[in-house]
Amino acid sequence: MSIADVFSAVLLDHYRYPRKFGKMDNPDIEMDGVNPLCGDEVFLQIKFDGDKVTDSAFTGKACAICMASTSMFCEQAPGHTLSELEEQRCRLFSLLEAKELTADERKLLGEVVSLEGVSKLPARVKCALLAWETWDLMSRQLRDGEAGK
Amino acid sequence: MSLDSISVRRDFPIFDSDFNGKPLIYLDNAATTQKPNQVIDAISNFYRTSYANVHRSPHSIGAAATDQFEAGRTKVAEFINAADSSEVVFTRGTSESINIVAGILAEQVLKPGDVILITPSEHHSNIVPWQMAARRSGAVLEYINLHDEGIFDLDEIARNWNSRTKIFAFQHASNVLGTIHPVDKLCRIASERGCFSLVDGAQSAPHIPLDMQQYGCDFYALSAHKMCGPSGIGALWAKRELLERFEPIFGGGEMIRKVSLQDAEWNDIPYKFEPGTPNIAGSVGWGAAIDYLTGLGLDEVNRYVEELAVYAVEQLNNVEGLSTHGPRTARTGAVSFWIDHTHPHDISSILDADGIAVRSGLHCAEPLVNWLGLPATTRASFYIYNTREEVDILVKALEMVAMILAVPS
Repeated sequence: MSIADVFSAVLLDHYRYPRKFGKMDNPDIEMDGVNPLCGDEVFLQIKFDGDKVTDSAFTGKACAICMASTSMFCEQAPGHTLSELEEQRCRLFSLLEAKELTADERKLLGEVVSLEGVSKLPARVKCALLAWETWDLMSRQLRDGEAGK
Repeated sequence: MSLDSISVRRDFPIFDSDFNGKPLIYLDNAATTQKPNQVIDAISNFYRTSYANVHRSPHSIGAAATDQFEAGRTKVAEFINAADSSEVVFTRGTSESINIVAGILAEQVLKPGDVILITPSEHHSNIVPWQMAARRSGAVLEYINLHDEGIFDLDEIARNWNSRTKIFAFQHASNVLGTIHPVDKLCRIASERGCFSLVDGAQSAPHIPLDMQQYGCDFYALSAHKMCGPSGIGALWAKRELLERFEPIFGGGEMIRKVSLQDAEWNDIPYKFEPGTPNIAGSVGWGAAIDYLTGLGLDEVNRYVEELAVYAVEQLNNVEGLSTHGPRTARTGAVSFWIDHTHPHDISSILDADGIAVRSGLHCAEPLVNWLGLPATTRASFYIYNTREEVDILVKALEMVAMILAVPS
């Protein structure tokens, strides 16, 4: 394993220049995601139109892998429906479990593919998943109709 | 005579293997140490030639096993300069030793409103058992203040003493900062005020020659695995009269003299605190580890590791954006540090790819890392087989890490 396999140029770019970083006014839903074992913490905010995400933002303090993954989530989410994002989350799971993905699946993952090297560091998989699992909890709340303004 | 780390290294077969295609640079010794052939062989030979259950066995092999098991206890007693080996209770390790004392005090001493005094720099194993004891007994858990480098202010402790304090529990050395505390003076503060003292010796036993007859503490806890011995065995040392006075909190075989349908009579100390079949080979292995360290010379071990840690602190602070925590000198081998804009988990992952094993995170000392005002730290901890060359490799690798993860300002 070489370090460049994990800390790829794309990952480092998202870490150094996180997209959608900052607080949003009037989000439709927001949630704090925490990895208690390592101290990673990201705060996600989302706006909706129907079941489609229209905007996203995040703040937080976390490791490079977690910051990059959260940045990628926030950049990709707008314009996608809950179920499309759920499919993307499942593809990321497969990627981090080092499962074979089809060319189409890799294409759909977009820059998230750059997290592939994290699969070689089992202790760090949770860092790459934090934003996506926080999003999963948020979308469950939305589906259950418990969330909202 | 100074310690020859190159010849020491040859005793440790783990260094024959590569990790991630690189020679292993093992810098996680505050978590656990590697084992020399002398310990591995002693355990292996014991299983091959003399293994049976101890005490009560009617056969010769049982007597041989008992002799070796008890010889381990005698070596531990000598290693910590206990007045007698019957003051050494074998446990699974430091955590269990502390839990036993906390359990006994919660059940037999502490009353609602009594105070349990600890410090914010403790390992979780010297915090959580006291939280549990406080909940069980209605006692209150209080903390002393920490000062620069995690130092305790003895005058302040004495000045702020709460007369309801029944137990003062503290570490001999910090697993995060490497700070070494003045155990004898701290114990005196407690004993002069009619308070029990417990010392967590997990980090000191591998580094500092110990002296139970000089410290004046009531309880001292230590583990074998942090001093080249096997995992799964440790000891609780306590003053004879306390072991005799307190009731055991765990029951079973070996700890009894007589059992009737409704009652039981306890065995002599230390056995009344050792129910069940003990870690027999663990005692043999720990004894071999003590022989090994004693053979190197405990003063030499202490001096070598301290000099190496002092060198590491100096060199690490030359890395751009890096600051170490804890004292620069008079310390153990545990050196924690922070690099600006760089998360410790990323540091440890990148170092791991170079075959360098360090720890990142909270080090089972979350209140202390909070006190430092950090989300986590990276810790390199050194022992007898580490070298200055390894420190230099670590420093070079960290310069690379700082470059890889640099964030434009």
